[in-house]
Amino acid sequence: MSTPEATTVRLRPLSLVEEGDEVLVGDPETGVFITIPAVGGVVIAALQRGATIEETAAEAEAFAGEPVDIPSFVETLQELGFVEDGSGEEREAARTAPIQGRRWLAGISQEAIRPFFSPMAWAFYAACGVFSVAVFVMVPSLFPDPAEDAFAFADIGLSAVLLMPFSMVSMALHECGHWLAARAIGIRSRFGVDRRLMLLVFETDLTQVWAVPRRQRYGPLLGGMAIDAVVLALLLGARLLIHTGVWSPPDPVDSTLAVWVFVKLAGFLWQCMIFLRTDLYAVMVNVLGCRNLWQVKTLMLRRAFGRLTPEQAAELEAAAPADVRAARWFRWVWLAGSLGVLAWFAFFLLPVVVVVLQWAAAGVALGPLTGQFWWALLCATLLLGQETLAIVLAGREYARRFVAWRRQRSRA
Amino acid sequence: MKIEVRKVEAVKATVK
Repeated sequence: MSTPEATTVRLRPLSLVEEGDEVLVGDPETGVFITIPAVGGVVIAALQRGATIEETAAEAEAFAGEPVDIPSFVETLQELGFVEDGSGEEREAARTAPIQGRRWLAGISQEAIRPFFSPMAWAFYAACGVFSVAVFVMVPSLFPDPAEDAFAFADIGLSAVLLMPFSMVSMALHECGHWLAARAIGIRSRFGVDRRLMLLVFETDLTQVWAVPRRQRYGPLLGGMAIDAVVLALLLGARLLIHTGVWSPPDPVDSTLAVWVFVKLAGFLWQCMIFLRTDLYAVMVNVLGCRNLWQVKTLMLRRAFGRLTPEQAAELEAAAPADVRAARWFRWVWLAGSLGVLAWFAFFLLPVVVVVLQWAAAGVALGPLTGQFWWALLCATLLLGQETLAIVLAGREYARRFVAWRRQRSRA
Repeated sequence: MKIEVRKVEAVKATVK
């Protein structure tokens, strides 16, 4: 579409955040965000005011000191869906996970939740973290021992069944931490299920954090771990009471608490694996001022192995300097980390899977009229269900990629 | 001059 010079362009409600010498622009409703040089911010601000193309061009030229191509920029804005199409219909957000809520979730007012993410509240969450570290240092025997604490009871099935509700509640609390911390700064998020390599994960889409200034983004990104820190401190506090003899509940209580501490620590270890695009990866992206590190890392890795197509080379050429700087080392962290996780899966997890399957097969062989049949089925589902779904999702994704690749080749 | 546009990645928080 060509835009006559005297027309105005109606933009959708876009967010504008100035950062250094560029501007972050996005449509929070669709979750599409871009960065443009400062002159682009001048253009968008003028269009939002209702200036004509001609007036906007004059303003941009005054700012940049040279003529600026406004029509081609407006065309780009249209392609991004940033221009109001007058239909008044709600835009659907772009999908970022294979299983995902379609709508952004508000659900609670900013005023109601804000006190829980005030500076005082964050000091409390940090204190919970410090308390947990102090307990581990002062009473090393409370630090989880995988050989003893991974299963609370001798019966693997019973341990797994009892662990499941805690694991689910604990993950739900973590995700709610992200959602509520996002609400505290007035942005919305949505929940989904995704995978990392062959692991199934619950995921909160926090893409709308690009609509707020850089320093405000840390709250939503760290909200999940803040809740984790409180839960871990409570668990360790209870174990400390038992350890010091103040509280003497029946034996299984302490061994159950020990498993739960183990689970929470495994959750913190998970967050440290930034090559799996965890919460701390998002924090790192924000600290380093990256924009599109995940994609640039892939491109730089392909370049290192000489597998860059001309389109990809052009994309890398246009990448942000901060992304290229970080991707130079992050690509190797990603490669080593991914290979490490795959090796762990092959050498440690698969043998366990085989044992569980053998145990379940023995139970299932007794037939559906026995209690053992259903017990074996339940335990196998709880132990292997999540990762089976992750592998199915991975299979679907690779099948789709393969079809697209073949279609592209038959066209070439 | 042309205004260059760069894509920004989605922000995903996970739990395991």
